[in-house]
Amino acid sequence: MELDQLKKIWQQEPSVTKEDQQLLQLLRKRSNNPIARMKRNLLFELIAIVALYGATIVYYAYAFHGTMSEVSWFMVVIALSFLLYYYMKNRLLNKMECVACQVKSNLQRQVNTLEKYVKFYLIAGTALAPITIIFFGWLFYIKFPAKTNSIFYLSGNYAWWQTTLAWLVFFIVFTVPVYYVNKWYVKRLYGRHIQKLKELLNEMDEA
Amino acid sequence: MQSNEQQQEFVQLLNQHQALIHKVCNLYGHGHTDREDLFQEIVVQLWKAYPKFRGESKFSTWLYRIALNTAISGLRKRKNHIASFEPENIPTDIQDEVYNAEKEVQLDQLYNAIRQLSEIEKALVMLYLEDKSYDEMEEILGINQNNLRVKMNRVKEKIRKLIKSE
Repeated sequence: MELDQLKKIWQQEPSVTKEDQQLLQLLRKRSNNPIARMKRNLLFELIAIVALYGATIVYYAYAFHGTMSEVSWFMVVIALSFLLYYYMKNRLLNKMECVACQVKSNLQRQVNTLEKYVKFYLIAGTALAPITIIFFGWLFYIKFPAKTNSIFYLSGNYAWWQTTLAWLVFFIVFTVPVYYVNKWYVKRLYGRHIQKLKELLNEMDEA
Repeated sequence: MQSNEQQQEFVQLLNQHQALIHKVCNLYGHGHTDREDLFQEIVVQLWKAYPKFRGESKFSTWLYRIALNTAISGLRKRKNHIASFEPENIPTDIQDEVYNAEKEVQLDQLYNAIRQLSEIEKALVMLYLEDKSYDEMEEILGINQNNLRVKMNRVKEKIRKLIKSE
């Protein structure tokens, strides 16, 4: 059977058509594409963070007669950083697709933005580990000065390089696993998606 | 929020090109539910993009871009079965004599062959079957014409072989 003949059959194919009312109803539906879902997830994440951090901030501000209010301030700083993180992620998601663009440029745009998104996710998620360590180290130092003759604090007992080395080891021990867990997680979330998009682009490029 | 007038205007345009969206869904959807979901997603995306449609390209070109972008990069979960064209889904009132059983079988073979192609090849075959020029194909897909011609020859050959093997 010739392709030209099939072309004619294809063009004459009858189609199930939807009524105007059905189409109008569809216009009120929300998008379910991956980017729309990522946007919704980000919004849920924001709501959860605001609720969780808000409660923790209030709790530590008043509990223990306010002696642990530093934790509240730390949480305020982290929550503000999260707002910046939310803003940047949302901006990347808005840039991620252009459905009315040519298929190839839309794919290219998605790959580039998604890679930036994953990188940002990875850096921000990993940076939280050393920041938390520094804060709690400092908190321990000011709350329990009597016990600060450990290697982690500058005192006459240890040389500066020993303290620095101890902190470095401590950072590495906590940050490296966090980095790999994050890396595994983002790969699980977006790895296959990015790979698939790249394969499509390669296919479009190859002659 | 678009006005009622805009909604009506959009639905009218959609009606004129509805068959085209159904064809994209038949090629990229896996089973009835998936095809319905894809149809809905394409309509939602078209509606969202409609206020920015300035008529710089033909409405059908714009529609093809959105439909193919949604179908290709939406990356819906794939099911490991090759769904066949389901002529029983065509309402009996439009299964007229002109469109006879033999044609249905041929169309079924064609759909089965196309479904074995990659996402990009499916788009190429669809544009070929819709008699689009290379200019239009380039405008929709963003692949340069030399590359398109090479790919098109290859994919046509592939389709012929797949149909023969059916």
